[in-house]
Amino acid sequence: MFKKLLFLILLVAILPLVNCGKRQEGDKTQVTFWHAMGGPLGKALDGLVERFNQSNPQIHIQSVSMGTYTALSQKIMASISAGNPPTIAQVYENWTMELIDGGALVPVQELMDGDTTFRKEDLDDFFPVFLEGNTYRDTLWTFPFNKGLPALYYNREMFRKAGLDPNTSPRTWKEFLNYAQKLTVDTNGDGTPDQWGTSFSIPTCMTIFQSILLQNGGEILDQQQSRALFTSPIGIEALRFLVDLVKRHKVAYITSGAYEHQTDFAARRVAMIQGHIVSLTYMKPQLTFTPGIAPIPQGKNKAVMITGTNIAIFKSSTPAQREAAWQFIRWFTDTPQTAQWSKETNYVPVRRSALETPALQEKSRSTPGLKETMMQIEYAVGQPKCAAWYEGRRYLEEDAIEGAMRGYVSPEKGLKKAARKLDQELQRER
Amino acid sequence: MAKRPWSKLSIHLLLIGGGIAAITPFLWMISTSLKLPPEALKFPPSLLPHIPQWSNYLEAWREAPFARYFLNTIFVSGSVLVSVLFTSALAAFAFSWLEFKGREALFVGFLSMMMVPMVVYLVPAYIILYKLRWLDTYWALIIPWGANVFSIFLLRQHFKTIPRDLYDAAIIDGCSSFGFLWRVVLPLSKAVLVTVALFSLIGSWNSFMWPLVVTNSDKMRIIQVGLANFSQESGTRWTLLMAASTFCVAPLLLVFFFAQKRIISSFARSGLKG
Amino acid sequence: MEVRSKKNKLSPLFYLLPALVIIIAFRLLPILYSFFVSFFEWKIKRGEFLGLGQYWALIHDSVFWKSLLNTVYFVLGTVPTSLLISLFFAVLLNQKIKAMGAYRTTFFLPVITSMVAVSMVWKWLYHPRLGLANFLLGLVGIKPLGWLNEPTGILKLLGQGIGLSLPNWLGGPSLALVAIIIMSVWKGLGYNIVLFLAGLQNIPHQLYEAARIDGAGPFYSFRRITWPLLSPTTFYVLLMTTIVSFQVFTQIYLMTGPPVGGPQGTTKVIVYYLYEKGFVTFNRGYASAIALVLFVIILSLTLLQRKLAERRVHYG
Repeated sequence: MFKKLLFLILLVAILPLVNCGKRQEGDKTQVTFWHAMGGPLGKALDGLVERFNQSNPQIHIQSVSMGTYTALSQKIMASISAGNPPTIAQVYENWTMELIDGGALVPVQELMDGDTTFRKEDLDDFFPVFLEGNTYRDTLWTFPFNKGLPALYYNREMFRKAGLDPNTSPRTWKEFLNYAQKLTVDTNGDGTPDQWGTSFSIPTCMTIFQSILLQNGGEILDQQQSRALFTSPIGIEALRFLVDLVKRHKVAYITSGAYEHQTDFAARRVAMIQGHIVSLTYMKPQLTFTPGIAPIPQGKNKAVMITGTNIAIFKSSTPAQREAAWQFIRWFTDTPQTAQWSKETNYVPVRRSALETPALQEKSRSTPGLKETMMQIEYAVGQPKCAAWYEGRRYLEEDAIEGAMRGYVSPEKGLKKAARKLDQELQRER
Repeated sequence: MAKRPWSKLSIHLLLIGGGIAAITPFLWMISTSLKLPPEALKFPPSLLPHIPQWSNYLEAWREAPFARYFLNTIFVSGSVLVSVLFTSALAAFAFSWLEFKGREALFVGFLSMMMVPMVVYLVPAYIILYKLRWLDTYWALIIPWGANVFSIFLLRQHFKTIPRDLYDAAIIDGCSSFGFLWRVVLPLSKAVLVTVALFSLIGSWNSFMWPLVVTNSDKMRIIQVGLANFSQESGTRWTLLMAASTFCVAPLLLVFFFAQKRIISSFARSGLKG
Repeated sequence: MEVRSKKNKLSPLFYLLPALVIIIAFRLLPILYSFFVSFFEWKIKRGEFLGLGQYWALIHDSVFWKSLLNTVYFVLGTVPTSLLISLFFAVLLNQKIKAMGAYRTTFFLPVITSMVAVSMVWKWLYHPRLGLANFLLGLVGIKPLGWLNEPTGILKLLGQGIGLSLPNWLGGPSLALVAIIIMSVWKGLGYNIVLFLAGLQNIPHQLYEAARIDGAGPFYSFRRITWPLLSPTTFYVLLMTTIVSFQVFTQIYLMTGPPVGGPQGTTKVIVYYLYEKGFVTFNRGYASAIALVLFVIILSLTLLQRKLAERRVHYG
């Protein structure tokens, strides 16, 4: 028995080795591309990469999904320590500064300027806010890749039942509260609602907070990125509004996990949720109804926060790899491809002209509200780009948002605590 | 001690209670894995699926190249197992039967390695793997785990119980020290070798953090990493996630059911002082 | 008397070499390197030499202390609980009862399943709205709890139950951490039961017989026979569970948050904090300093337990 088992194990051990040796693609330029696109997004990305590889026989883009952004950051960090980062990877704005300072990146600008066939007009077609978000110290270091926006999802059926127009969504936060109150219903009369106006996870609260702050003229950091400004009365007001939805008006509850509110929305427990424009792609398999999608409510001004990542080229690559990487980036962000990407995933196309393509025109016809949601891009604002924001956003999320939402601290105290920690971080960075 | 019938009964009741607590999460996992999403999202929940959705398993299986993950895991676990048996038997023999300077100090040094959490050495080990050009290969998954302090410890404890007379007899027969290890010590240690093998197998089947960091491509991915990724990708599709969890734990559970006596006595042995 | 390799002095080295190479290359060198890193400002690249600067910063880092406290809560929550429950069941299983094997197998199931799968399952069990845990509580008339979502201290929650309002600092570990503790105890219980059972079966039966003839009750024999003679096993179980508990990571990483270590940082244990510094915020120097401190803590605990054991443990 023992010997047989040993033999079996050895056999199994040797089998895959036979398969190991094959590595073709000798004279192609290899470009490794690390990203965090999983599930339906990963499939869409791989499809496009495949198309690029087929139409560019001299280049091979190897798309590697790390599954999650946490895994991606962990891998990038480990690989830079070891000196073998990928050729290109998705990066967040607040990682980028650290990577630039660590001398790990090549500015995309360099390759773009060297490409005589890429014209200035091409760059004008990009949404300016995307380019701005990728510019550090006047150089375009990275390139916009998968960019998203927040979106409001709502259940038309519930709207109808509550006597609301199923084709319009709340336009201001005041209206939002009003709607939520009408949509919170205790059907069985046991004292707790069975249908809620809204629900959110802590990360969602974070994005709503940022939006409301910006919409009312507040700021997260000052211009020099040296001080936190969210402790202003506007910030406190914004957070208090969110807390009140739960505690005072009792029209909302906090969910566990990052995406549970989406599940609850799909399970018809919640009438409205703030999600991400891409959430629809994820929710689809669970949904048994067609949700309304709309821009998020606004305040005094219009503003939303951009989410999603950019693409960076790493310095340890060879000139040929960089060139090939740039070809890929350029191709991927060109009108037909970015339109295709947007069509399959709901991400915002990075170029304005993509909105006019038949693919997206068709899609916005079949999904009412999608186009309006995408057009929030006109007044969208980028995430803070300084490295300190990497830790700073945790402080804001944990100490202020989570603390206040769960009733551990007052909004004011929580925000002040987060600001104090963030200020320290910003000081250290200088 | 327990002679009266009521006390037997109460013992059984206590044990049944404990057993139910131990097994409920598994039953719940399987029950959820067979539900339709709306049924899984109902509260109060139905204890059993209305109509078992076996297709959930197929759907989950198709979401990621799980077959490849399984093959990788089997291959890696098998190779680690062979390597651990080889290196540990040799080292344990040296630590228990050979005399050399600093033996005890070295052994204590080995043991202290057990107290270091993996995250401590993960990045530097990654750098070493890179220098060796082993990243994203099977080597990175196998070799660093090919020696194991705990296994050496277990084997040493056992080797020490082997009577010295046997060695004298072997020497008279003209046996070398290696011959003694191979022909006398190892055959006498089959049971503890099985223990080491099982520990190694369970350890590598269930390892997560290391494979997550040292491999990148789908081709090299291990089942646990695949499952964790799947949980992120599937968002909150609990039915599919539970189906995937079920088929990821199933192989080990099957092995366990067929060899439970052996496995449990192996684990029991790991605690005894030699 | 031991084997002397008269012919070849290098012989021990030959036996040790395979294991030694692997352990030096993938454990010792990386660990030493980590310590080296901890003396520098080291983010993406090596920066200036700080000496003990990282350690100095660590002493003043409230998050570090909090994560240490959470870890201590976790260890104190898992180790004695697991020890007592497993000893209890082991004693029951040792009563020569029918179906002992079946019970033992059932208890053992969680041990061989992967932490990844088990984390998913328990996250689902703890779901605040749909989970089985709250459903079962509902059956006995307890209001649904937030479980992994609940940052309130367990003592505070219990206090509320009896109308007592405790301050936050006396609240103890959060319910979220307690949820993780319950799951971890469940996962490791079977192994400890099996170890205890083996220990119990090693105790000569005549001792119990003799005690019974002398008129001793079951509690007396447990205190005077079982407990002292079981002490080597107890010590071993204690040592192993402590070492493992101090390194708790995977279940925290997979079950809590977002942000991981939440809610309110109440499940942020030290190894996760190390991970966060090293892999999430790219601060390797600092992470390495935490690593060294953790190593020293575990090492001294082990030595302390060993010292105590020397006096108390009966090696029969």
